[in-house]
Amino acid sequence: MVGEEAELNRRLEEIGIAPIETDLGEYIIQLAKEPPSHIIAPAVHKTKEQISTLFHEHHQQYGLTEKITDRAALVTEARTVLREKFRNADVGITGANFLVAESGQHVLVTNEGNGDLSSNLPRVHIVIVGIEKVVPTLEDASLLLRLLARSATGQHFSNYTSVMGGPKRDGDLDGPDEFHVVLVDNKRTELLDGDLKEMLRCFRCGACINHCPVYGSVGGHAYGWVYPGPMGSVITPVMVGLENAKQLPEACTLNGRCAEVCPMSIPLPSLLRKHRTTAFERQLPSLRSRMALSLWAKVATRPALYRRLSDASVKILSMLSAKRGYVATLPLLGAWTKSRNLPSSEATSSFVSQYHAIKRTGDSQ
Amino acid sequence: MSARDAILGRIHSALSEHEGDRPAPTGIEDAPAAVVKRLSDRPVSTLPSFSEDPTERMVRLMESVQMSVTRVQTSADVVNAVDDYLRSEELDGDVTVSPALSEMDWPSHYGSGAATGNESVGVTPCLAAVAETGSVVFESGEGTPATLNSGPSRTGDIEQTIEIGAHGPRRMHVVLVQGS
Repeated sequence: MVGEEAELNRRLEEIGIAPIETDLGEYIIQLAKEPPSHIIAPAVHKTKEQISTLFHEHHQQYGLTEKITDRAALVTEARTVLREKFRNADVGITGANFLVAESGQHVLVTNEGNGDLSSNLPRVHIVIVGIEKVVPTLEDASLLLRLLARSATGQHFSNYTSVMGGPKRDGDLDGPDEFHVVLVDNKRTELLDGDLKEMLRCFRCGACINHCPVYGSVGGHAYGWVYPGPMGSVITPVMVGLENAKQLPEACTLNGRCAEVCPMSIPLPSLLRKHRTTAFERQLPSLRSRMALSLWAKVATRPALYRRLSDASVKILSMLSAKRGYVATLPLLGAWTKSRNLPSSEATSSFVSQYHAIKRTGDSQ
Repeated sequence: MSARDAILGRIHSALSEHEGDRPAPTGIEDAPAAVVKRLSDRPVSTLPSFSEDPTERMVRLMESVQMSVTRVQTSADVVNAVDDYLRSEELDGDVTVSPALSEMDWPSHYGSGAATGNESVGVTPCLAAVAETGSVVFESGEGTPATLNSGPSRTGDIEQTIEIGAHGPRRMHVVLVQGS
């Protein structure tokens, strides 16, 4: 995904180089000219029929005439076309899951085996990797690999876990003649220097994404940039600027599932709260929403007032929805009611008032 | 200033709040003592524990990820085990055998050396096999980096349904020599 951060494909195309994605999911979305919707399953939003149409459209140049509908046959079609690409490519570009400081090696994990083919078949191998992937020893990497496979896909171990270090040596049967590593900062040192530094522990397993109810409702593309879900909502504002992604930290229910499943114990909800605080301090939300928040704070810190107001608002909502069964417009909430109705309320008083009423009845029985 | 120096400088200033102001280290010789200690201590991470017999566990895990396993008593039985497997699976394409196994008495139609890409079958030795994960460890060369492989190549990229044979081998068969 660090390639997407740098818009590597677009930039390579601009200078006349034809990059080909080799992970099946990445290849599919490259054909569709779409960004990934998940960091582990980039084409998770595509149906088999859509993939069938994409291959039919783009593989006629390779002799495909009929539309393929069978899933296994689609995989074979991609395998056959991409195998030739591997054999003819001048340069293979991969990421790395870990860089090992003690040995200068890198560790690359895939299930398809595309990482090994990209690393070994072309004459030149280039590794592009974020600086946070450096670990002290291979022992550290092996612990993290155990966590990564389990959290990403529920496997004991990924299918292909390769430890590589440099070009082909004397006596090696395979491998590249040239080997380069590009270490990418892209705001990672800024993270290290700030109060979101726990995010540097993220090794991109995607567990937080899989457990996020917001991601489940809106999908990966709604996040607007490379990284979706809770980890994206923390990273994206850092990389593209909080002012350009201020909705992301807001679009969270703070349910905490992401922190619960994170194998690296990253306190994602706390980090999102920090973004919210920063956004408020920098006055990024509109004046209206800041005033609304101040008003809310005044009411919410006065329990008696809060209760009276919520009782009153429940009564008003109940009256407004009595005729049609829903509320179609509300003053100041036009943005909300534009695309949906507020359901009717059968209650005539707030939860707290009802609770007290039940408790009184219970006590008297 | 090169990008490298700029990045290292920023890392250094972010980390050095607690260490006082000193120049960024340029190599392991002048790295902070904590770094040298961390690298030399090599703390061993927590290992998953299991009570199963290691070989049985390894075979169980291998089979759980679509690898097949044949057990033989001695290394003299390996050639027959491979040939039997290829016949039973009706794999009649070209075969290449790793030079490291050239001492064995392979059928004359088997080739030898690095794969050219046109073979259907490759036969290799392995450095180790791992009971914890059911993985096979392949060396690139003697003492050079390795790949751990856990079963045939797979993908879940089409509607999250596992398909075998994305890029790498469609089948992975292990001949396990149990005796001498």
